[in-house]
Amino acid sequence: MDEGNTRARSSIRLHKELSAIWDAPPGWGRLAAVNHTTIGKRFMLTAFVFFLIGGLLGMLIRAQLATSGSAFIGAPIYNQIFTMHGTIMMFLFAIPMFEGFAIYLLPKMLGARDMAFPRLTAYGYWCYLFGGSILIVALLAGVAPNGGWFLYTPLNSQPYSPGINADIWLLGITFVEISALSAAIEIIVSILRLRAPGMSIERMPIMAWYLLVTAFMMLFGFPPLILGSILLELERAFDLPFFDPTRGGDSLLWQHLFWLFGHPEVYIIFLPAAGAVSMMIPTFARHELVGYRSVILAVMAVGFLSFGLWVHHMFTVGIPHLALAFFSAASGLVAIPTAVQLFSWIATIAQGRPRFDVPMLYLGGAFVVFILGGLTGVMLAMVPFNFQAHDTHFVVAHLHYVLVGGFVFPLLAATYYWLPHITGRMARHSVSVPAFWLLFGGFNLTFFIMHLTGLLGMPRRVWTYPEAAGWDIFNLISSVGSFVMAAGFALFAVDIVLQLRFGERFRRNPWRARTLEWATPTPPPSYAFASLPVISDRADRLDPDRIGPELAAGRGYLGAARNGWMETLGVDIASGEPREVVILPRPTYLPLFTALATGAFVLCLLFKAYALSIVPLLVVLGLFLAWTVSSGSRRDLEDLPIAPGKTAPPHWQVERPPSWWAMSFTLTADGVFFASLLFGVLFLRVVSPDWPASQGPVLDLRLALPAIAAAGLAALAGRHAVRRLLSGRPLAVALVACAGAHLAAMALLVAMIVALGDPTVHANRATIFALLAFAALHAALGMIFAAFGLWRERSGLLSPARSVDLRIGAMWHGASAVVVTIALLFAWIGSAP
Amino acid sequence: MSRTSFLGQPFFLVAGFSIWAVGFLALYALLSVGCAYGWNEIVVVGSFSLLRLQLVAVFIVSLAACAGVVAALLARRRGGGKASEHFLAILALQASLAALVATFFTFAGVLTLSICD
Repeated sequence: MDEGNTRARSSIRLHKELSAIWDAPPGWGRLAAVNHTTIGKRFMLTAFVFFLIGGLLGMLIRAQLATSGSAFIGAPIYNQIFTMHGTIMMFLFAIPMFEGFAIYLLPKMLGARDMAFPRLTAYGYWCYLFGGSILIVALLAGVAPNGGWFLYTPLNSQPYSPGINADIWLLGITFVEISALSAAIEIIVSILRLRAPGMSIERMPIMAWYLLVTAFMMLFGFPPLILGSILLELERAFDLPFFDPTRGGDSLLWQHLFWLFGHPEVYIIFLPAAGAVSMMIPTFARHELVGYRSVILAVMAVGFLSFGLWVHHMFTVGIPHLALAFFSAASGLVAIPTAVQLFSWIATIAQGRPRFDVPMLYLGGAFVVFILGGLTGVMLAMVPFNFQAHDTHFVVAHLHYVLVGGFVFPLLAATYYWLPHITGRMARHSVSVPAFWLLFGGFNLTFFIMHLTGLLGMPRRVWTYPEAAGWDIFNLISSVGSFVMAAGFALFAVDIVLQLRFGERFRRNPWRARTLEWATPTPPPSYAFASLPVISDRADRLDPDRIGPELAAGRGYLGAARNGWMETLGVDIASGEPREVVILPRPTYLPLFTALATGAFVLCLLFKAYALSIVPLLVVLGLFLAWTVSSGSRRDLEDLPIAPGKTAPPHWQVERPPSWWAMSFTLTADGVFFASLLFGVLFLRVVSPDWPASQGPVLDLRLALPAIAAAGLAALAGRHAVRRLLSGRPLAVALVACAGAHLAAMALLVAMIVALGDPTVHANRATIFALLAFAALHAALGMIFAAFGLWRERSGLLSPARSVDLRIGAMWHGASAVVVTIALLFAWIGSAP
Repeated sequence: MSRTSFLGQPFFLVAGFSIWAVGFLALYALLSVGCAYGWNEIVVVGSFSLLRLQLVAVFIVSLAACAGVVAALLARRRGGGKASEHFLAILALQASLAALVATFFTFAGVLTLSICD
């Protein structure tokens, strides 16, 4: 009893100390929050609001199509509505919802106190909110995108979409994608480095594997779309003809860049939901996941194979037969690892002692719907069938079965499963069962029928159809079904509100789960764990009921407040051994201000105030640099106590802290972006129907070779500066030389751009312009990195033990030299007569 | 502190499928370039065109590279080491085997199917 009281007292004291450090200030101070629990909830709530808007648009679509010749909304508005329905559901609901889910739960599942870069989390959220708001405001103003959510060219090129509708899509979505890419990098680094001590790679919760693969897919999938969006916006704004076939461009380039993102995107949405399923089923089956390693293997296979499917959206555009075979084979093949996961779930239920609860009901619905979607997916992967069903409502039915079965139903199950964690209340489930049957029945009524209308030849994206087509009865049933489904969602929302208001309070782990997130108090405090657990078994075999109170009493790692620091542990990627104490940044308004400035930049571009856009761009740059002021230390610190008898250095004194990894993955995304650009350049040169060599400008090698030399010199100077720092010698001269070399490279590249002549004449010049501009941008950023290193050194923030800032800069200098060299090589080949 | 051997690195988890991805891109790029420049009409041996030979060569190189990774990881599997290293080694081996099958299944069309029609 005494021990219990002592533990309770120490738990309360520790809670107060940690809360004082980790909680965001009240009132307006909430806008400064960077905590993963807060930001995760904001992401999910905002995504749900966008989902409601997207759902409402879906109902308008079905109201319009309910009967032939309907005059309900008419073509112009219908075009905006169906475009925005797809755009919202994909970009403003599905991805951000998964991001919020990951941001909220991941640290708790891994036994960490927060994500690796809390300010980046907050910045990502604000970018998402502002970017999404731009799209919604455009919808209300009647100038929303209206060319389909694939934004195909030439329909969305300037001559055929002269308003700002397409610009809103291109700029707004790119804004949102900044958020997604930053989340991807953060998720990867957090999973690889921020875990509980002892959580070696083979002990990670299965969800971490799913999110790791998903985040890598985002890292490789999003840059092609960002590139495509930038190129199309350049064409629309400045007439650079990347997609104009009359001047050497090609509309198919857009399709390639879009679907290089677009198909993996389906799995980017599906995999986190599948991860949630793999977390829930073991709890309800009362048996650990069967085939843990096979599921990891399957998820990795899906991650890769899903990139080999992108052309199956383009089977009818006229590509060589053999290429059709590659993509058809890969499309069929991806069903196998997907099925491995399904069989694992079924085997887990079969081997366990399953008990029924509402999340399982929704998972049952997910299974049925997703399997049906998977089967039609295999049908569509077969080229002859695809030719028949292409761009019909059969495809609409398939994609909804896959996305609703693969994401929405699992998400609803996950909501019922994890909402008690967020709220600390258990649902009564009084209306959740009827809500399910309305949803399940309404969904199938809506979309199963669409297979039939599709097979009868009804094309997608048409705003009406003739009565003679004979599709009325099917469409009417579909539309009735959609309203039944909407009633189900309304009931679901009511159920959630009832839970929030009347749910029974409980302390922790209502489902008797065996994963770590249930070891936190519920609702969770801002610091998640008062101390960090030591993991000695797989993370789905734990006992949260025992671990929770121990951690709350501070009997784990970092079980005390220190220096007002927000601390968590960095561990070795494979073994999970503690490596460093990661000291996270305190709440700050900087992410909000930076996102506002980024939004101002986007709006300037949207309203074609290009000269003015330089102002917010410089503000963004300045604010990002301001983020770094509070980081690091002006003296070398002794290793810090992390547990009785154990110490670890602060993260800025280790060789590869989270920021080093973040730069590695940023450069990976940068490399994918550059590779996509090179792909585009090669594609146009090989495929474009109008590519006369005479249109090519001649690149002046007298400028190109010195530019390559300057970029190389900058890289060498950057490395030299690091060596000098590590040996304790002065490094200012090396950094000044580095910045100077970058400046020279940039000046030479700009001179080449000026000498290029009018880039609007032909796609060849436009692509060379893009290559040179991309290289110049790298040189410019290299200059900033060098200046930043110099400032850190002058401020006393660098020492041989604290060299990471300079080493990160050196990585950029090296990458910049590679980019400049390859870009100039490609430009030279393109300009050869 | 013991260092993880080269074959025990997490990188090897994705080695096989990375070869598949590179092979996929190489085949698609080669096919596009070959069809654009008419390499499918240049007969080299019997009924084999220049493009067919190049595609088959990429196919074989991809298979061989995947098989090489499998063989190397198979040898590594017999070694001891920490639990995490063992786990990664087995997972990498299985992933490479899956990639080998995927490589054969996805690319085998180069042997028989029409190329540029």
